[in-house]
Amino acid sequence: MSTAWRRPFCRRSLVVGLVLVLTALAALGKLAYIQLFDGRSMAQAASEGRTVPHTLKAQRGRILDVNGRVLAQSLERYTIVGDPKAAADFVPIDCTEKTRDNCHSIKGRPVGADGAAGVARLLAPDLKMNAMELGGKLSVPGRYVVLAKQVTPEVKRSIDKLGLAGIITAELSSERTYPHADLMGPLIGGIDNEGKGVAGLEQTENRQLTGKDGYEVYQQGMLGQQIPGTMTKSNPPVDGKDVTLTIDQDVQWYVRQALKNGRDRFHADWALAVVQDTRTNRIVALADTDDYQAGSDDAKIHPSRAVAETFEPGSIGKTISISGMLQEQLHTMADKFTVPDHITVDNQQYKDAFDHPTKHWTLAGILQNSSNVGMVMAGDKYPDQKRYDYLTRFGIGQPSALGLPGESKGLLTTPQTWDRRTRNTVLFGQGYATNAIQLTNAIATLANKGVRSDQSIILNEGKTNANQVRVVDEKVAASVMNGMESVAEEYQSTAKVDGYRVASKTGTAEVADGSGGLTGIISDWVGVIPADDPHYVVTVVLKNPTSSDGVFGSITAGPVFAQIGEFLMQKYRVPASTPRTDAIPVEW
Amino acid sequence: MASAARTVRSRATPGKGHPQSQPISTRPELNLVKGTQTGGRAMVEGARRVISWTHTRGTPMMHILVAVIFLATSMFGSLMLRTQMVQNSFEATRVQNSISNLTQDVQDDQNKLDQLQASLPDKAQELGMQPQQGLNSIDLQGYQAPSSDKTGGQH
Repeated sequence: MSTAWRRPFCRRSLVVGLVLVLTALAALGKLAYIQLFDGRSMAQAASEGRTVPHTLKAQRGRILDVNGRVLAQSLERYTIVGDPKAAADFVPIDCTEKTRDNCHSIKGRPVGADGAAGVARLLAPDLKMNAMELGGKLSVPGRYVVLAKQVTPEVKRSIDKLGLAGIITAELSSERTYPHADLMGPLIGGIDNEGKGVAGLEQTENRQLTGKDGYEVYQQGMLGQQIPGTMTKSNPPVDGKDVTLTIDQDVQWYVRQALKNGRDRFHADWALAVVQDTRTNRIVALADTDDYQAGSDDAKIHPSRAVAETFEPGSIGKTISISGMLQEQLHTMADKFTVPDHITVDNQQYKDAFDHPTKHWTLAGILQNSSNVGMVMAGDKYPDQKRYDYLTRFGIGQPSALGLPGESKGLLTTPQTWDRRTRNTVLFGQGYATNAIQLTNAIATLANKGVRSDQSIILNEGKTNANQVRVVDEKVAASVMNGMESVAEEYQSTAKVDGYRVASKTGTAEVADGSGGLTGIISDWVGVIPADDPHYVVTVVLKNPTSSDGVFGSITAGPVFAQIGEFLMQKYRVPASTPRTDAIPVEW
Repeated sequence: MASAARTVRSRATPGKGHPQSQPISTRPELNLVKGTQTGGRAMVEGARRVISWTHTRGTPMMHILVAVIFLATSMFGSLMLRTQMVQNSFEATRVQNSISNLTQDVQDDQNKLDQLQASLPDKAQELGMQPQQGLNSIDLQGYQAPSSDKTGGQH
């Protein structure tokens, strides 16, 4: 009896033992197989699983003003991404003494909901979003849903502390910020979602501003840390280069204020101004009255008015015609003319802007009084081809060297297409269209003793006065400047800059408005200050100004010029002018 | 069949295919000695044999000892270094994160500063401040600088 149970027990034990031995042998066999035969591929698969390429994002370069103040820069931001599937499985851990380090609570209170609702409740305060809306976003099928974009690192860090790893992740992105966005929105332009410049200087300087992303390939541990000695490839990111403009933010701001004041004072549609340093041909300010914010869609759609708006320069064009006549030795500034207030040439009647008895004016006097009749008389022997050539040489109708997006080169047709009237109207700035940039450089050519240089808006050390072209002789430029100074003296009451001599020319032209009729008015003023030692050329243009004293450029654009000129002289501490002693007579 | 063939060959070359038929060799040879001792005594015996073996070689015992210690130290050192590297890796990741956090903070603060700077002119205008206007200048034409010997005596 006592031994009868032992046999089956032993047999069973033996069977169980055998099964265990077989299992152990199978495991051992598998282990041996893996170690001896399959080891390499297994190890490779494991290391491949751990090896992850990590992109190292390059920062887009900044745009700075001439003094190094930031106009555009990129900041690191995050895109918060949710995993709806993981969110659905979320069960909050109540905070107790034991779970203190890894629990969920909202301001010390329990979350009170599972799944997506719980995640949304936890996340909503940090993202400053509605918990219901967030819950809705997380309650969709799939494993990837973007919850918020352009989240600051500070917010991202507080999200990291919520204990939602695996449900909520943050992807690094960047945001382009413009500290003074409205200062010159269209000029700066903007970037698209991929970070590529699509408008303004962001577009033209995109190549310079764009960096090159780098990467690192290494094996990472569970917490994402690099396992030492496992980095197989790496390439450091190269940040985009900064672009420094020649624009001075202070001047830009002040010019914009002056333009806005002028626009409001004269009820103009818009106003624009260009300030150019005559010694370096750098653009110091390129302002208008538009309020488009840099980076906005408006700034991307609308180009800067200073380069995009074209208009007939009006009487400012007389300076170019007179320069050509003097250069061709057809006249001198002191040549005497008897000028009525209207004249008929080739059955075409030309009138001055105001009625006056017949005057004894010199060519300087014709310029000072802006006489269209006088210009037609003086241009009697001035060939059409020369009229065209000098306009071209001064840069009218030619693309500027700035290469800004949306820049219009204006409209200057060849002399063969000119009719009997146009061939004479071009003498006083009508019959062709230009923009403020071209006009500024044309007058800067006279200020620079007859040499025209490429303008620049990007500060490029060591490269100044590129592409210099002599347009007229130094003497000719000086004579025209002398005449322009007499013009400025004529308008002392509206556009005087105390202590400084100014050489300027004013213009008023009828332009086509939306309807196509010549109902629009462009009033403009170009001035060189100081006239005896030119530092700056300032062009001011107003569209459709109205004033009880008239709409002439001298009355509307002139005061705005004077305000800007005074600021420039104060800011850059330009020495005061010496008294004028060499004025060419304007009457005889 | 096979055994018959072997038999034939063995006869052709007697003494090669059948070692058992050879007379017992008188040469000294290694024989398996069955151990009569167990446990610690066997180990002691083994160590003693290793030591005695080393004495039969040209290398003194000290050299072997140094080599073994060196090997062990190297392995241990390598292990320690590897452990340290892993620790440092965690530390490096932490510091790296900290640096990138600080860089982000600096960027954000710089941006705030830039924005404040950019708003200064507008704020100044709101406060009613005006840019300097008018011109005050001193005309130095005709002014003669005092000669050096005179300036020396002026106090």
